[in-house]
Amino acid sequence: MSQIHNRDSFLDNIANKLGRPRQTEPVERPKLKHTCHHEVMAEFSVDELKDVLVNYARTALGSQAIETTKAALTTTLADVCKKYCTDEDNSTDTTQAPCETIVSADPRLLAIFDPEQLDTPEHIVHIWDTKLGYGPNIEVAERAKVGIVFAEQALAESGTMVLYSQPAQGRAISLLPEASIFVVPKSHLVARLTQATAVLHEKAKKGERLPSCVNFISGPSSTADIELIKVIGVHGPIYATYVIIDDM
Amino acid sequence: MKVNFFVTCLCDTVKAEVAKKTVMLLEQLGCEVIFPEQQGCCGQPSLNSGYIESSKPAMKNLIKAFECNDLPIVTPAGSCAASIKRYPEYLADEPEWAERAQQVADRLYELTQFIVNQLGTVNVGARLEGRAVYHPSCSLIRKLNVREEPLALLANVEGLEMLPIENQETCCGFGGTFSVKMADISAEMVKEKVHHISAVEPDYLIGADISCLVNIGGRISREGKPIKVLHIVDVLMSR
Amino acid sequence: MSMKTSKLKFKERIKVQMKDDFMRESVANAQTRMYTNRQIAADKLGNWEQWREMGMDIRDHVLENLDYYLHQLSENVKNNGGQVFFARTASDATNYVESIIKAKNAKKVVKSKSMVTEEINLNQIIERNGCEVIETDLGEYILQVDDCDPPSHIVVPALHKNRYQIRDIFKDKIGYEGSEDPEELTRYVRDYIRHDFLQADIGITGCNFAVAESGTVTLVTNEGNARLATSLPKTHIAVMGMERIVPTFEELDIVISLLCRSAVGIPLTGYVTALTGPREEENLDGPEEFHLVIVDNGRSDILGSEFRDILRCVRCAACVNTCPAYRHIGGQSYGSIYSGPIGAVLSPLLGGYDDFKDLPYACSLCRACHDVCPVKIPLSDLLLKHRQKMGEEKITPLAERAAVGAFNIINAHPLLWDKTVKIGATVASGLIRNGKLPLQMGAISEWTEARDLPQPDGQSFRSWFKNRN
Repeated sequence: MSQIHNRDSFLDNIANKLGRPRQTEPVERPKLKHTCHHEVMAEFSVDELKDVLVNYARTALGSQAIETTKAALTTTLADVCKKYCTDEDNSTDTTQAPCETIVSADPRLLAIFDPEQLDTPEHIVHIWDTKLGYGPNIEVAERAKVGIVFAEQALAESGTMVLYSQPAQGRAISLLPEASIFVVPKSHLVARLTQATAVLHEKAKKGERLPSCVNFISGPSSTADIELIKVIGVHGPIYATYVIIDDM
Repeated sequence: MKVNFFVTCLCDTVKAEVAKKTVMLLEQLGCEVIFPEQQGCCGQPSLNSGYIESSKPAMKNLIKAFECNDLPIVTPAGSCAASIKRYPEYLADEPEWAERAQQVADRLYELTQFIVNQLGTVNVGARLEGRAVYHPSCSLIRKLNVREEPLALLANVEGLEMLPIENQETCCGFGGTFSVKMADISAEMVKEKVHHISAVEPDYLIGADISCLVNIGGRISREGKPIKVLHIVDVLMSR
Repeated sequence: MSMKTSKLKFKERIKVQMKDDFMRESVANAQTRMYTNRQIAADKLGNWEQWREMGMDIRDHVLENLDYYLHQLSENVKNNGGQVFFARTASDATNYVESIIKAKNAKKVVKSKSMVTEEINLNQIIERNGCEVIETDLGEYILQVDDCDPPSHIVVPALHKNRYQIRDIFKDKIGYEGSEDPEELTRYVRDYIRHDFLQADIGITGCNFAVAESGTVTLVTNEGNARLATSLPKTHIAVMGMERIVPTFEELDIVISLLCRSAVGIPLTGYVTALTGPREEENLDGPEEFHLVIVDNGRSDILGSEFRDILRCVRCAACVNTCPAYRHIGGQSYGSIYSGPIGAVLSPLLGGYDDFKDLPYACSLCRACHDVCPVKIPLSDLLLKHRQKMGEEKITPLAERAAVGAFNIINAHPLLWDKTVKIGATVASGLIRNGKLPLQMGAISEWTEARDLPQPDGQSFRSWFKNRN
């Protein structure tokens, strides 16, 4: 089956309207006139970037931002999950269904975090498992209250976590559960979108196929469609926590 | 210094006082004012309605009117100055005329621009007691980039207190033929403008573009508000 | 719906709209908030003019080389396992989508917000095949539920509705029994259409920007619906206006940074999602099939015309948020899914002068929109070009052309002009009393509806000047 339909007539028409023959030779992109995008927080240390990120997440995004260490990561995640799994009125009603968390199987995450430690009768922890196939994983993700993912980069200026889709870390983990926890080493922090797009540009230049889904996620889902009033929590997650590992 | 005066059709017909005072102010500041009688209207009513082609004979007439000498041309209306400065663009397909238009446009100054930047003066010795709101016309601030000059002149008027208003730079709704072609929309815009002006209870509304003043003034009058509408030249000639 | 949203004439529409006090207050407040936030975000970023210049240059470069970049894009989409359909006309596009609906025997489609899909009337085509289409963007969902009420703003389509109206719509149509609290209303919709995402056969989105170098489609959203629509259903169809493309991720950085700040006053929206092809074999979730539909629908004609600059548009609606005319008449007055300054330029180009000839005149040429457009489109100059074309094509009223013609003749002849001025001054000062003329007709009566005529000073200036020496 043909994968590209009607291209030639379409593009011939464009060239015609532009008053010239088809442009088939590689086009040289003009260099961008300014460098202001590279200069944003260019002199900042990674600790300064971290402060910007944490502050922005808390004040502008309605998200939690927690600094922890490699050694304390498991405990930190346990605390965050517990908070999310506890009722509004702080009761933990044991007659209710257990709270569930789904964790990315990203080896970088599992190398520093043991999900088993969070697994209790009241709080069941699943790890994204490709061997089980699509259905079971999605069902778990939809039931789960919390999803934990590992971020490629974090962007200080906009309070953003950068996720690449991969077999071990399904898109659903940071999408279906009501709460998202993003784990990111401090060394992955960059100033802004410019540094994130640069990485993707390099991949594309080398002819690498990009991950099918690259997400730049800034806080939980939100809308202002009703009277321009900001409501947090629409179709995507309602809560977000950023966990920054200080000594990585 | 000798200067030419471009009077504008509005000032020539119904607001001659503004034009007269402009001439007297320029004379006070040491200029000899020449009035080339061949001049007509800048053509905005036709140009802004899109009738570029049929405006060309009039544009050419205006250019010729000011080719009588090489002197600067001064006008008390930002919108008219802005309109003439686009003549080279409108005449682009007649390069000779475009060049002549450019020569004229380069010599053309809006009044406050001329006084502050060419004559180098911000204090003309004016005195007017009271509270005032300044309306910056869209032509002045967005087409001619004349923002500070009127403010500098007004700041030096003894006894005059300038008051900021909400949405100060929003269009008053005149837009030339817009005010009659889209009268409903224009009316709402001028009502909102008068509402914001009235909220600070000024004695005066001051502007440097007679067209805006006729528009806002017309609404102020309809609402019976006790705000006196003055062209900046009225203020600058006040003692 | 298609691009045209009303059967009424322009003047009738604005009369209706201007009586809607809620809409007017809502739009005025929204404008104030949005243009304030836009400025704050621009100031915080700094060097905003440099960003705008880069944005303009990037868009112009792409438009000049559009055939090249679309070719590169399509090659990369194909190499990643996706399909590309180049649609010259609206029906080419909808026929293709319909063929997929049929091939999949699809019963349910979830859609995220896309202006171009409304332009080509896609929903109707899908529904005639017995397939349900759910608009999942909250604003679009509200309008869809409300019997497809037209959008009034490019970014916040249900801006003209208040919470009470929305509560009543939900009560009426989707069994809602709660209050008018926006959070409660929103959470109800979250639960109500959750299963639709999980069950849908196909997800359809627009495309904010495609990236040619990698065959990527980028979506700029906040709600999570676009992520769900492109991750759960087995098929993803992205419909793209052909000019919505950048060469590489380097340019994507610039345009996204401009877009998010100009549209909603924040550095990045909640989700910027860059999708490249269907999911990889070894990934569990994501679509198995990806189709990119690239739509012309009149854009190539614009490309070859004096209106080309309008194709730089990134659909941020900053111009809409600044326009004083929009402020008073609201989006539905434009009779098009595209409203405000962008709508006034684009709707006649895509939809013709018959339906949209009034829009280019609904502008005082104040140029506030020029200052805020992130890619420096000279919007009011393009509106002036429309006026020029309509004058040349004799679409404007005969009376107007006659009056302007007479004016131009007089203005071109110094002696005639001289006489006219002197007579005019005399007549005006003789007849205008208390701001009115004895005969109120035509332009005079339009003016005096809301304003008094100016009080004339008497003698013409030129008479005074001549006589003073």
